[in-house]
Parts: sequence; C-alpha cells; structure tokens
Amino acid sequence: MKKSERRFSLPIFADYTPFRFIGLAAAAVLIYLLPKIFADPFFILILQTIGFTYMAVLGLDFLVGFTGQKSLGHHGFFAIGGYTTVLLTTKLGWDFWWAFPIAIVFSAIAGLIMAVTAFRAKGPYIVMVTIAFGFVIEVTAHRWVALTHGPMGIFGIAKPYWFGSRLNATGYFYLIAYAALALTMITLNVLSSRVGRTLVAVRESEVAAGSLGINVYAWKTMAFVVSGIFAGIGGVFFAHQSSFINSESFPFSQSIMFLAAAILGGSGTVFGPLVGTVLLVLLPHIFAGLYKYYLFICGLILLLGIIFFNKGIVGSLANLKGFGWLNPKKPRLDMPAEKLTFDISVPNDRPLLEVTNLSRYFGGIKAVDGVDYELYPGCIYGLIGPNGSGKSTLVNVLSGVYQPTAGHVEFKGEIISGTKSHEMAVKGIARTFQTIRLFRHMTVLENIMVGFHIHMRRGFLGHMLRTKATVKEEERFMRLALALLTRLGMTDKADTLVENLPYGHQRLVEIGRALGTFPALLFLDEPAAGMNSYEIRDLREIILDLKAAGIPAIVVIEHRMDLVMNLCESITVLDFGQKIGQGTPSEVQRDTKVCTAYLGQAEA
Amino acid sequence: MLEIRDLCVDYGTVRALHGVNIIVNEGEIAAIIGANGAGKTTTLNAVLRLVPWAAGEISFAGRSLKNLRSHQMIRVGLGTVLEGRQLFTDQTVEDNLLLGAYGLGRQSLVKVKENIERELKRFPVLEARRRQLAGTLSGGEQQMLAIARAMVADPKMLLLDEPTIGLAPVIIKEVVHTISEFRARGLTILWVEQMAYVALKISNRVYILENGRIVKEGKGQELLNDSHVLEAYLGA
Amino acid sequence: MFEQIWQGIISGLAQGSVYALIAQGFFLTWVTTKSLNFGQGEFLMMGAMFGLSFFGYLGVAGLNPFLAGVLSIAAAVMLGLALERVAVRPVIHLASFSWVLSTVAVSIMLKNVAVLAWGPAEMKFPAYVSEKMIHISGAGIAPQELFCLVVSVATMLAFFLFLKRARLGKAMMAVANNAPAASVVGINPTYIMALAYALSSGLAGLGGILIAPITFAFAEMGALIVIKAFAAALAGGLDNPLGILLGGLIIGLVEQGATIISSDIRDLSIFVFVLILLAIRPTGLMGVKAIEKV
Repeated sequence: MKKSERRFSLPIFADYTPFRFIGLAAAAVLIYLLPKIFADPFFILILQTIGFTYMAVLGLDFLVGFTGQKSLGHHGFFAIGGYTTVLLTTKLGWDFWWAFPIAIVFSAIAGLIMAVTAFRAKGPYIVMVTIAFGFVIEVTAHRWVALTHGPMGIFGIAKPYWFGSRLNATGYFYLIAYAALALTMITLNVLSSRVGRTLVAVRESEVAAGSLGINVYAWKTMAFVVSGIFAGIGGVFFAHQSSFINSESFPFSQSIMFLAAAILGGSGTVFGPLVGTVLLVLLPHIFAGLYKYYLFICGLILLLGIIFFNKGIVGSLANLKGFGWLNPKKPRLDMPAEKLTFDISVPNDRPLLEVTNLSRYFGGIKAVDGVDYELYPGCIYGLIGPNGSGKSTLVNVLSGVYQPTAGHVEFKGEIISGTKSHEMAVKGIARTFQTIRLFRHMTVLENIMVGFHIHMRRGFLGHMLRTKATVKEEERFMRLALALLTRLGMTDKADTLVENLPYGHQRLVEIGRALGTFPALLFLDEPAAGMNSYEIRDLREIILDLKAAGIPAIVVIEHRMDLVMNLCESITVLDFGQKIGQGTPSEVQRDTKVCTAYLGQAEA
Repeated sequence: MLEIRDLCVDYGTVRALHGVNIIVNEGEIAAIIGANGAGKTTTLNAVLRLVPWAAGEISFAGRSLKNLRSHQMIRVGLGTVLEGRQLFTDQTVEDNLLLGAYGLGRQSLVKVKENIERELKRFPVLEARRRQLAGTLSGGEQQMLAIARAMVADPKMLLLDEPTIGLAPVIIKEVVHTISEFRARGLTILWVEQMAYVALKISNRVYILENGRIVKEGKGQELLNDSHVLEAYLGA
Repeated sequence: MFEQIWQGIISGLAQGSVYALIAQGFFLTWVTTKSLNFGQGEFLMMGAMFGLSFFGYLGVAGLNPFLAGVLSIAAAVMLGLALERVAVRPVIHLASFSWVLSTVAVSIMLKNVAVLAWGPAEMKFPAYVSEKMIHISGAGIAPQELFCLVVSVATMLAFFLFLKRARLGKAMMAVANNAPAASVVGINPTYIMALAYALSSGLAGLGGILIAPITFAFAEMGALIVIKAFAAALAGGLDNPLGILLGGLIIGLVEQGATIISSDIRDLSIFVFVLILLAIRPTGLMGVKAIEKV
C-alpha cells in the first residue's frame, strides 16, 4: 500500500526552526550575491521583476493554495498599490516612505471590499466577482483621466530614498528582494501556526470548521485582505521600477500570469510561488528572439506544464527520492503521562437542553415536525430512527447548521434558537458528522489542535512574529492534544495524515477534535459507522470513559443497536420527523410502534 | 451468474475491501448486509467499475468485467438501481424511462416505447404521474421509478443499493414484494440492504460485510436464527 | 432622442444576444463537466477568421454565404473537439483549477496562430446582409444588428429545444443532472463531454460570424467579449440557459445605456452591475441554489 506523501506544503504547526534560520540566512546571502555575479543591468531589472511579481504570487497563493478561494482580480491590487504611491509622490510631493503605508492601507481596504462582494459566492461565481473587481479598477484607471492620466500615463516616477541617497537599480533590487524575504518569513510563520491550520480547515470543510467555532466569513475576509496587501506591495515596487506607468500597465493578463505562476509552481507549497514566478518571468525573455512565435510557445509550455506537472513543479518533485530533506521536520511529541480530564460546569437545577415544538421544513418536506426533547446532565442519550427520520436534521438544527423553522431551543437556561453554527461551540455544543468531515490533508494532531480553536488566544501579530508567548501557547495546546489522544488511545498515530487512517480511527479523531472545544453537550452522529463488533466494544468503553472524564451529556445517533442498547441510558426514537418513542432500552424495544417502524421484529 | 473473486478496493491509501468473494447464481436473490461504512456500496460500485479495482476479478455471465467501462454494463445485461435513487430529477418520469432505454442500444423506437409502457403498467403510480418531474415524486414513487428505469433495458441481472432507505414500512413491503416478483420471473438479483431483517427474509443467500471483509455468509432463513446476527443487526 | 433610444435598444440587444450565445457554451460544458473554455473568445475570433477566408475576402473564390458560414462553424467545432481532447480531458480530474489555465494556454496559442495566418490588423468583414439602414419611425437600424439578434435568439431557442426534446439533448442534461446515474443507464460520459465542447465551440464560432461585420475581425476581438459573456452567464445563472439568455440581453442593454450616458463608463457599467447583482443573488438571476446536505 502506497503511503500518501506529504508534499512540500507549509509545515502547519511543525517546528522547523533549524530549516527556517538556515534557509532564510542562505537566501539572504544569495540575494546579496546575485547582482555581484550577474552585473548586467538588464538582468538586474529582471531580478527586480521577479521580486515584485513574487510578492503578488505569494499573496495570491495565500488565498488560492491555503484558503482555496480563487481570484483572477489581483492585478487590481497591483494597480491600487502602484497608483497610490505614484500619485502621492508625483502629484503631492510626498516622500515614498510616507506613501508606502498608505498604499498598504488602500490595498487592505480593497481586499475588504473584494471579500465582502464575494461573501456568499461560491465556485465560478467567486472567480467572476474577482474578475469584475479587477476590471472595475482597470477601467477606472483608464477613464478617470483627471486622476490617473489614463493611457497617457504618469512620468517622472522616482525610486525611493534610502538613508539620504536615491536607490540605484542594484539598491532597488536589494530593497525589493529583502522585502520579499521578509514577507516570505511572515507568511511561513503565520501559516505554520494556528492561522494556517484555520485557513486549511476552512478550505477543507467550512461546515466542520464552523462547528468548531471558526467564523468562516471572518477568516476568509482576513485572507482576502492579507492577499491584497501582498499584491499591493508588489504593485508599489512595480510602479517605481521605471519612471513611467499608465493605465495599460495593469492588464487582466497579469492576473492570469499570477495564477499560472502559483499553480505551475505548486500551489500551497513553500517554494512553489518562487519557482513559478521565476519560470513565468523568464519564459518570455527566453523566447523573445522568436518573437513571431513566442506567444504560441509560451502557451504551449504553459499547457504542457499544467498537464504533466499536475501538482505544480514543486509538488511533483516532492514525490521523487532525494528531495525528502526539504520536507519539514516532524514535531517532537513528548508523551505526557496524564490523560485529559474535562472540567465543565453546568447548572444542576434545570435541563441542560430543552427543545419545545421544534420544526424544520425544507420547502414541502417536514424533516423535523414538532419535536419536544429534553436532556439532563450526567447521562448518555440515544437517538434512533430509520434513515430519513430527521435525526441528522435535528442535530443540525441544535448545532446551528440550520435555523429552526418554528419552535424553541434553550441551552443552560439561555435561548439559543437562531444561533449560528460557529457560535455554538462557544456556548458549549459540539458534534461530529454523519459523513466524516475531517481535515484530510492534516495530521491527527493538527486536526485535534483545530478543535482547540476557541480556547487559543494569541493574535495575528503574535503569529506573524512568532513571539515567545505564541510559541508557548502552541506548545501548551500540543501537550493538551496529546493528553486527549492518550485518552482515546491514539497517541501512536499523532503524526499520521488522517486520510491514511482506517475508517474507524478517522471517526475517533473526529470525536477527539470535537472534544477540543470542551463541550457541555456532545452529539455523535453515527460514530459506529464502519466499525466491526470489536471496535464497537472499544467505542462503547471510550464513550463511557468520556462521561467519567467529565463530559456532561453525550447524545449518540446510531443505527447499530448493539451499541445503542448497551450504552445509552435514555433513547429517543424519531420517524418521519416526529418523536414516536422515548425511554430506557428495554422500554423502547418493547414499544410496538418503534418495532414496526424501525426495529422490524414484530412485523413480518 | 455473477462471480466476485478476491476483490480488493482502495480509497486513496486506505483499503476498503479486503478480498471479497461473492457468488450469485442465476435466478437467485443474494444480499449483502452490514453496517454503514462496511463496504457494501463500494462492492456494488466495484462491479459497475465506478471505482477502480486494486486486485481481484469480477465476471458476469462468464465474461470478465475488467475491461468494461461503467456505461457499458447495462449493455451486457447488468441493470442498476443506485443508492438514494439517483434519478434525473430535472426530467419527467417518462424521460427518465426514455433515458433508461439508452441501455437497449440502437433499438427501434417501437421497442423502446413498448418497454416504457410495460414498466408504466407495472407501476401504476408512475403511469398517473408520467409527465411529472422526477424530483417532485414522493420517496416511494422515486424508488419505483428508479427500479423501472433499470428494468426498461431488459437486464439479465439487477443490482440494487439500499432500496429501502427513507421509506415508510408499508412502502418497504411493496418494494420487497416487487423484488421477489422479479425473481419469480427469472431475474437474478444482488442487493445491498441496511434493513437486515428484510434482506434475510427473502434472499436465497446473504453475505455479511464488516470492515471490508465477508465475516459470515449463508442461506437467508438460516442466518435469521443466528444469535450473533440477531444481536448485531437486529438489536435483539 | 426617441430614435436614439430605439437604436440603442436594438444595438444593446444584438450585442447582448451574442454574449448570451457564447455563454450558452459555458453553460453546456459547465453543467456536464464542471469546466468551461476560458478561451471561448478566441474561438469566436477563429470563427470570424475562418469566415473571412471562406467568404472570399482574401481573394479566394467566394462561396455561397450560407455554406461559408456553415464551414466556419464546422471549423470551430473541430477546434473545440481538439481543445477538449488536449486541454480539458487530461486535467479535468485534477486540482479544481487547471482547466482554467489550460484553456487559457490554448487561447494564447490560437491568438498567435491567427496573427500569423491573417495578420494583426483589423479587417472589414464582408457584409452578408444588406448594408442599407432600415428606418422604423425615424430610427435607423442596421440590418446586421437585427440579423444578429434574430439568428442568436433563434439558435438559442433551437438549443433549448434540443436539450429538452432530443434524445441526445436529454442525455446531455442527464449527465449534467447526475453523472453516475447516466453511466448506469448506458450514457458514455466521455462522449458527452466531447460533444459539449464541440457544441460550445460551434456556438462561439457562430457568434464570431454574427458579430464580425459590426465590430471588424481581428485577432484581439475575443478578449473582452469572453469576459462579458462570462459575466452574462453568471449574472443569469450558470446552470440555467434561459437565465443566461436573459443575462446576456440585460448586460447588452446596460452596456448600451451606459454608452449613451457617457462612453467612459461603458465597460465599467457591466462589471459594477455584475458585482451588485452577485452580492444580492450569489447564484445569478435564475441560478439554482444548491442546498448542501449536512
């Protein structure tokens, strides 16, 4: 059986300190040496171009490779960054270094606007929104001649000052390259931490991410803003490269080029954006001699590259021998001796969950129809019924995935009907899903860490700079995650990619991930699916153990009677959206309505 | 008629089926039961070449299915009713049947019409709704249509994936009755079922799948009296 | 003023109908294969270019206009089959994006070929309908625009009928509705995929012949048109051909309306319109909102 290789993806969470310092130091030295080795002025210009194009591609890949949002509008950010500094320096006489932060602010605002307009759009619709966005900016630049001089352009753009003297071409290259290096370092830091995990989680499953308390819209917006800022910065350096820009400097084909660089290089990998950028910047120059055919050849190479390097160049190299040393170092996993206990307080004098006359309709279908339901702390509950009886819909409503059509839900005394899914985790309700929604390209440990999302406090700045406090928090939660895995008996699998685990183990990981929110109420939606009788016996032990460890209430939705009847203290039976039975296992088994509808014993 | 030998199927790097062996004789009903995620649907999908085989061999009416593609299965006589009905919800009942007749190949329009009318007669509820969009039918009606659509092409064998999901008990009785009827007319059937009791009652041979392996097989009536089976799948 | 409005409406509808026509190609390939030809504009251009040759502009003995049109469309269809085989089929099962870049790559190549074969200059496309303006209550309407509108809409209606009534059309919609079920009843998905791209390219080629007399024929003609067609498709709803027809016509009208106000905001108006529309209705005017099963 072939083990799925980890590509050179950014090491989410892993500690890769030696690699990071050596790598960045080597890069810094290489940057210094490049213009010394290749002193040709034309080549320096190309190096500059690679530098600022890389910034835009890096920003784009942040969006595409990690968050999975597609954009063909980044030439718009390029334009905003470029025009801002150019106009402020040429028309208002500002110093470049005062104009630069303004360009960042405007790019951020543009990113925010793009995020808001792309709010609810999915798939090709997002692409259209970004295209439209980019075009609006491009056409505005063309037509608002009073501001931008349109196609006639702006002359006299000067390079920035650096400690008293104007930068020459080589100096400008150093500025660009070291800025790009800084952006790369920030990106690596940010993505190999909670931020990266959250973005990948959002990409892999928005629904699962929401159930763990992640505000998907807010994070997607953040990704757009960061992506826009990077591209804007690239645009600034592009605009000051020569002394002239006009509205034709930022065509739609730029966005195609950024995307091609990101994908051909290898989306979501460390070196992908760089490799892709170098390739796409150099390509036209290599074939410039064949000027009549050069578009054709560029197109052909792009086509062949897409077909044969289907994970991008870097991604495809990852599977070859000899490149393994480029993969991130595995995290040190000191085995803690203790098992995790849950210290969750709930009110004792009232039901934990009180559902009154709850209904959820989908058009004409009454998936849940007037259900009354009560849960008390200290109990393991069962919820059974034939497929299509409304069990999952009920859980979906109670966990905020759907809003109720009618009826009333009270949790810990507080009315929660109408709460959205990502707010439920904070309230104390967690769940697993009928079809496993793990974050497939992350390890077991990383999946569990996402579960702790609502408890992790350190902010974006801390992650960007990898402060001591941030690292300490990561380590603390890593220990917590291991303790949780110890409770589930899965510590030996901590570093395995979840997509390589057998079905039954994947379900356990999903349970562990939900436990990370420290819920007062845990819904397990068909946890035994895919398990054989022995695994079910183990699962039963685990669930009983969770109750002992301090989880106040657990609801098991299941078809496997050997689990339900031997584990649950109180069972509710649904059929066609309504409650048709309730009681202890023996009571339910003797109920004729239940038998006819579901268990099938009494009926021939 | 259908022979599955040592079938192994992988999903990515995880093995979903480990050497499954199933034989369905002509004119018999064979059932595969087991929990969700045990591999039942994967087995049917493997027969239909909707998923690739990692190892093993499947032959139908003496010829190997290895080099056939999914859309050719109906041509060799293997009709299918997929899990969740999988109707063409945006098309009418009639059109669903017309599309089912694709499997007849280049037959005369007369023959196609004949078969469609035959199926509509078999399921009068469908006749009444022939111009209705398939997506607006009730669960039971959709199941009937899915079966009719498969039968329009005169298959020699019928594969059914969980035909009772989401259906009321009284409809389940009808579906099961229809399946028994088919056997009486000489059709060979392999079905995957979540309601173990129902499958055990009418099937000639039953295979129990757990975690991608056949853990038990036997005559339907015999397994009904087996205590392990009763506990695990019937909740007794 | 009144005449201006009439002229504007007809022009807008004519342009819009061509956007809608090529956008139907997006619909067809999108619903059947979840991909589309980002180089559709270049296919429109090739249709126009082949049209130039077949119509006898380049000194080759002129063919009967109808025959010339059919041959041009046939050439576009061939290109579409080649596109599907070479740039779509190999990457369709991969990471969600590659077909965007591969179809763009092919369009880049086609543009170069066009420049080499026909030169980069703008060329007047021979008028195959009378060039005399038709006068209706004072407004002068170009017959080519009327022809454009009528043929586009008629083709689209024929297209809808094909999808709804013809056996093959139903088969295509079946694949779009539910691909595994289509396989199981005997429909070959690969064949349908190729057919979708063939038809899509044929529509683009037809669009090229219709619009070239109005806009001239040149290698770059497809670039902006394809973006507007894409906008039309998404504004109307990518999975609803009627919505696309509507979307195209509306966009054509918006564009013309904006031109009358000020030529500066012509292109801007379309994109602002689409942005606002998609913010309010994320799946377009008549797109189907899919409910994800959780």
